[in-house]
Amino acid sequence: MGSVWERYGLLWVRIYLGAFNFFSGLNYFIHIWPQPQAADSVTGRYVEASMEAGLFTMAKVIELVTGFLLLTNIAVPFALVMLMPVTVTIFIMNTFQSYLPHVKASGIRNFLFHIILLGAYAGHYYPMLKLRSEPSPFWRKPSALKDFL
Amino acid sequence: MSLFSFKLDGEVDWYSINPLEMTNFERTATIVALVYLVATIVYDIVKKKRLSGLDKKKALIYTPSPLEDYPAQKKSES
Repeated sequence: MGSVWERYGLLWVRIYLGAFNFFSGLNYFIHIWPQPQAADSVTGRYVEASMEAGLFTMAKVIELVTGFLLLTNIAVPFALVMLMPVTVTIFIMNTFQSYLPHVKASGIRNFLFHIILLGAYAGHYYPMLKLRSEPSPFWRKPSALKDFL
Repeated sequence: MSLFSFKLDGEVDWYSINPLEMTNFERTATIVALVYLVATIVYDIVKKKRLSGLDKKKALIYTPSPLEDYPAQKKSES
């Protein structure tokens, strides 16, 4: 699989992103460290609203599950798709709403790592880019799922 | 320059983009990724050493030989 740099570089990116999200999600349920506080008012209001709506908890569950999948190299393409909304939201809030350079860099870094991994696993998404697709319902042949597991 | 400042004080400088200034999650992710990477590199080196002992140029020669305790043969003989 490519050069040594590609192999270990992608490994670093996958494990870093997986561990970051896994511990971020875990910390919400098991309070290991203090929960990070939003420095700007827009992010603070957004976090408050999403907490009230239950979306924040859902995001943390997604972080926990997809972080685990990335760390254990299980269903990585699926995990990357599941994690995308969380990464994009954090990227937008951190990069465009926060005034702190470290927060901006953190959002950009995670987004960049996510894009790199999407590129690395792009072959698994090519069938999704087909212009004209016929429905292929799960209920027509449920046993077909076994071929992918 | 505060943009790249780094201090080993256990706190994160929010005005610094120095990669060594880390939040708790970043520090944990860095440690986990480092450990995983080092373990993978070591494993690859050990695997390579183990496989290098095999002589891949040696052809596999299979010589078929008849089974001595074939029951059908013994029955016909008797």
